[in-house]
Amino acid sequence: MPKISRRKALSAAAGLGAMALPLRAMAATAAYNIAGLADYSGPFADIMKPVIAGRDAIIKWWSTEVGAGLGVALQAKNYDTRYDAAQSASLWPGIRSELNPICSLGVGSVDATALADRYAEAKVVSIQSGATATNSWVPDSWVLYYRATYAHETAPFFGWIYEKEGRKTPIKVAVISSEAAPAFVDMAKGIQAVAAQLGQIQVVELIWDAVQPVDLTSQVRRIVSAGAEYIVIQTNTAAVVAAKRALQALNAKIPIVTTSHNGMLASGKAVGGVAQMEGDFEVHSMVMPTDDAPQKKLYDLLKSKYGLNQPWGVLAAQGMSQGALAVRGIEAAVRKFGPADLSGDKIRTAMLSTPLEGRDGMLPTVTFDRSAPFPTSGLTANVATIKGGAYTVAARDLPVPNLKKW
Amino acid sequence: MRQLPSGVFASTYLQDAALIRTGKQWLALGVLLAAVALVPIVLGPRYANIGNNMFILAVVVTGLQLTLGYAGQVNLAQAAFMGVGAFTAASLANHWALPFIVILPAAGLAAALFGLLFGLAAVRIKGFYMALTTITAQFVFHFAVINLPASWFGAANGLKVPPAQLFGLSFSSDVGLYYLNGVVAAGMIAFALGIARSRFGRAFVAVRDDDVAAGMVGINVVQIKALAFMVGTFYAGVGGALWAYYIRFVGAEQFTLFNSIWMIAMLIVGGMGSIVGGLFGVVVIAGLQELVTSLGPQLAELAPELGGQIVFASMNVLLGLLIALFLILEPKGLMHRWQLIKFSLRIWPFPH
Amino acid sequence: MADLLNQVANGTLLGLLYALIALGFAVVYRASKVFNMAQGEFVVLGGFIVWWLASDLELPLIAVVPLALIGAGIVGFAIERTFFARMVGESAFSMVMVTIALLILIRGVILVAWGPEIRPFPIVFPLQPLVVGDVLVPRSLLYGGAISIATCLGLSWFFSRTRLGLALTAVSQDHQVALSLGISVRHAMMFAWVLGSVISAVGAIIYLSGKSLNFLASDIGFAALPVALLAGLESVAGLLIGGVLVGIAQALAQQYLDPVVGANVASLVPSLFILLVLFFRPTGLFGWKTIERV
Repeated sequence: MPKISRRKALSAAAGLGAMALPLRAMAATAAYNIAGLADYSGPFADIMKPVIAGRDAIIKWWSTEVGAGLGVALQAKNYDTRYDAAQSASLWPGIRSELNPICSLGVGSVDATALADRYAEAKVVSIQSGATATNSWVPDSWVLYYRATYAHETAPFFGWIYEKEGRKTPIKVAVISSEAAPAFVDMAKGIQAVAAQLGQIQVVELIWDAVQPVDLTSQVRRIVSAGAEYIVIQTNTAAVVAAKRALQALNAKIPIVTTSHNGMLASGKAVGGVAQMEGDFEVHSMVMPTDDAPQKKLYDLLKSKYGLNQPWGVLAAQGMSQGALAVRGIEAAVRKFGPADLSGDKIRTAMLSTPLEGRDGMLPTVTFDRSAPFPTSGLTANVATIKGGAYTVAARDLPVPNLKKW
Repeated sequence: MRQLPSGVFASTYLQDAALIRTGKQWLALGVLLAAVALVPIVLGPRYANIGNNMFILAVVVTGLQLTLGYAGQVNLAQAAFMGVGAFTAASLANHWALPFIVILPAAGLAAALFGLLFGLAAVRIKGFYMALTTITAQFVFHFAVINLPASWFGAANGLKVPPAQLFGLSFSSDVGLYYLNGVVAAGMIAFALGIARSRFGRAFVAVRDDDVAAGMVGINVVQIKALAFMVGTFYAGVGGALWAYYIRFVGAEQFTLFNSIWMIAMLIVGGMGSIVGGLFGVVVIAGLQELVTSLGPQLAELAPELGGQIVFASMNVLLGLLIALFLILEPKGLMHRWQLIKFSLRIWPFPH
Repeated sequence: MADLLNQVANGTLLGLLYALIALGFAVVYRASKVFNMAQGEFVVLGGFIVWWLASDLELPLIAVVPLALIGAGIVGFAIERTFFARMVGESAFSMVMVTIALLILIRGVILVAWGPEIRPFPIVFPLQPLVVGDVLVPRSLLYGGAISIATCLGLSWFFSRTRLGLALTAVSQDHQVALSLGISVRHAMMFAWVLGSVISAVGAIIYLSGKSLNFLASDIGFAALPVALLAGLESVAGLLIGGVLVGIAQALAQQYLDPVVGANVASLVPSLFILLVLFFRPTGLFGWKTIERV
């Protein structure tokens, strides 16, 4: 037998071994699809771009940096639902057959309600992008939120004021809302529930007007004479602008309390200058998008490497948080059940049984339980304001109370 | 005067009044029904859902065709009546767990009662005033749904709807609903065709053409106008009930003025004054909306600089242009064009 | 008492704004018998033209307003030429259906051209309100009310006392007869649409001054609809009375009924009020009663 030189044998063995390695890696990475639902031409089209960009970037980031190590690859595809129930229902079978998703990233109450039963049937868990609407507040839900309701998020603000100022009597609060959209009606009812359940606030005036009010001077006059100390406006920026003009006309100084989608920066832009929002507040559970926020580093990474070309702001943060909860759930499921054969069922089980912590830093460590579609422990609220013309964080990590459903 | 192939003559009144006269027409109908029945099997559940949407809209738009196309009573709030039917169905299904077979006509009746109010108003108020008064129905519907007690209609939260139960089967899958909706839609359309050919249909047309003259000829104009509204809104209510069982959630934002306007647009494109025309309109407009939504993601990926919103917003532009074009070039709608094509094919090779 | 006075004052001025928007409907109807369902979209379009001139091109306000009105006129002209010129002689109903198509079309164009973002609208009227004793009146609404009254009375005089106005009225009654009398129906319709578009732009300036603008502002078209119905579709001066009635009713309902009911009854009040009036006067307060020959 010819002598095979040792060198040749070793290199042959090394070559064979090297060829086997990628085979092992390829067999180990399981690819999964995520269905993204969006609104590109309906009533929320103006805020969709940064939200979608944020969540797509987070999924890409996790898939490349974390998922590869765990043997999981994620791919997301977005569909336009026009914020329409019929469109969502009609798209769903196509999405199922085309993607066979393990998870869906919802756009709002439209797909949360219209597709709720379909998600349960198809065993696909849905992570929503905004705050919980009361009609989604059911036990054993397949639709999960990373935020509680708007009322849950506003209560900590008043609790903070109550403590800070050492109050003994309830804070007088006025609410401006609209009946044009059922979601806005729900927001107003939520504030009333907070007043009734926690006793720290008292709703002295509840004003209903159009979604784009013509003029709120006489309504705000009523609010002023009722002695309100804060005005809660959580519908949209147009209402904030109208209220602000009315306050300026009446020379009254009542702070306006808004939420994420009509926050200080957005309302400031609409009213013609952030300086006019001096002394007003924005309260919600999401990250405050200041330049010194710890999450900005993640944003910069996503911007440079993962194609997030939207500005750093509340909307991008919203998308990133939605993506963050989804990938945390998937990560929890992978750790519990392994990377192979992941399904929405497994993800949901993992999410409802383990506290979800993540390396993204977008959300605190949150824990779900079967009673509500939002985390029942771990949620916090942050408060921002405009001080000296600049967007500053007024309070961080205020605990979100537990409320009973109204 | 219907155009028939030569050699086809009626020898009884029944034959003369029949919709389908020749063997070939029966064959064509059979092929159409078979094709419709095979869609979910051949094309899959996504197309079944498109079909579901079209069946439900077909029922509602057929009702609108009877009120507007045949009787000339402008009803700009058909979506509100559809909503009344949907909420009635949801409420009855949730509170009393009535069977589907009872809820469907009940929802229709509820919508018809609401429509009767406007039918009676139509006697006094005419023309554009009537058209604009029907818009009030939209506002009243929206207000009522949001402010009535939550145990009635869900208030601001809307109502979830359990799956339809019929003959022991539970219709919760898209394909099952397709056949259910298809059967109901076929029945309602056939009934509408019957109404159109009956003395009521002729009375509708008489009132549309000139209500004063119709009154002088002996038609009870009050009764006919009220009936026109009631029948149209009954159809809307039935369509609404089907919608409730399909989407399995009803909310006030699903039945807005914009939805009513789209329904009128379907009638415009399809052709007023003909049931089949209304169906053409539904297929064209609903089909185009689906097409744009399906193509949208692909187009958005091809041209990311435009941004998804431009692609999808362009749908409004496209469809609006389409409707305007139809009105300018073919004001009688697709149905008219179809009749012309059929006629020229029938007498081919003669030009006229 | 002060509250009541304030509500009445503000309600009157709000009603006058509705009257101005409804004037857009009335002018087009009076001159061509077409009921423009897309009037709200014209208001938003006018608003966007103003915004574009003021904020995008950054022209001074003194130039923006006349340029915007000219721009709105051009838009009205273009729409009339494209869609309605071919429809001379068609039934009024088909033309209304074209306006329905326009509604969808214009909204799409606005979304494609400017996107759905909310933008600040330039401050055309000073923000400081006028204070008369206990009553606070926003200046934009005050000036708007004056413009409203002047325009309505002026147009009313125009339509009933001048040759051109009467010619337009003739066109609205019957295209064929007007043509046979030598009145140019095409010119009449062109005039109607240009005027309607310009008035909508004025309405947009008053409505949106100092506030924010996005495509949803077109809802005011449907809010102003009851005023047009109440006054009667042909009546131009009657719009003032109709507007004031609707405005005061809505304001009082918001002050006194809303808190009692806990819901937004005020939004329904105009519609229900109209229904009631139409029952007793089916052609509105000042609309024409046509006598039909059969």
